[in-house]
Amino acid sequence: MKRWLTCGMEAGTPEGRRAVVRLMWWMIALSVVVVVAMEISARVVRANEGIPGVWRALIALAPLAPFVGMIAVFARAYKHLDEMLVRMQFEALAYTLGLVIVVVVGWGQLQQAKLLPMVEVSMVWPLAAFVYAPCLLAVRRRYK
Amino acid sequence: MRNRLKVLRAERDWSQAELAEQLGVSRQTVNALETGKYDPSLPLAFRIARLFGAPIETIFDDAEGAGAGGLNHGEARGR
Repeated sequence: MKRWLTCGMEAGTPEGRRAVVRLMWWMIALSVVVVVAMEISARVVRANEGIPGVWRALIALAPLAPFVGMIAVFARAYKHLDEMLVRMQFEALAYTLGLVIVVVVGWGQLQQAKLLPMVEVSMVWPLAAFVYAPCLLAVRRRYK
Repeated sequence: MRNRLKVLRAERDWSQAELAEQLGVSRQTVNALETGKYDPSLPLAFRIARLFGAPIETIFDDAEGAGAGGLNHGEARGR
């Protein structure tokens, strides 16, 4: 289960392995929580258009709060990875970024051609999360 | 880059996991080093050399020194 969860990434120490597993759980939990929270906050903002702009902004940005925790978990997990695992992560993130840009720009083009429906920009995050795992697996195979 | 890591490890009868533990890296990294799929950083290469008690150039070989008449790489490049 843990090997599947971490895409086979193994840190050098037991503490590091726990940190990587924790990071992956955060990624999965955050993807679900943020998507649900964004929908709720958007509804709240729409239903309360009379309240001051500052409050509307705070409600709209509230779903991003868990990202602070995720950044802290990221920092702790990466500290435990050795140089090759960091390199693998870097490559996986680079491929993820490239693929996400291609998908987003391609979607935008097809959207302008009225071939695809409008999608909120915030969907980039779950897209990146889903692209990242196969990218990490592909990079891992190269070093196997 | 070729290396003698697997041979040196076998001489000491260590598993990949044991070597990884001593170097403070993952078993995946040791495996990638042994198969030549990953070249270590200089600090890691020094740690490996220190662990096996051998100079770096006797463990790692970038094959560029071939034909240099027995000179080490630094000397060969210096001429």
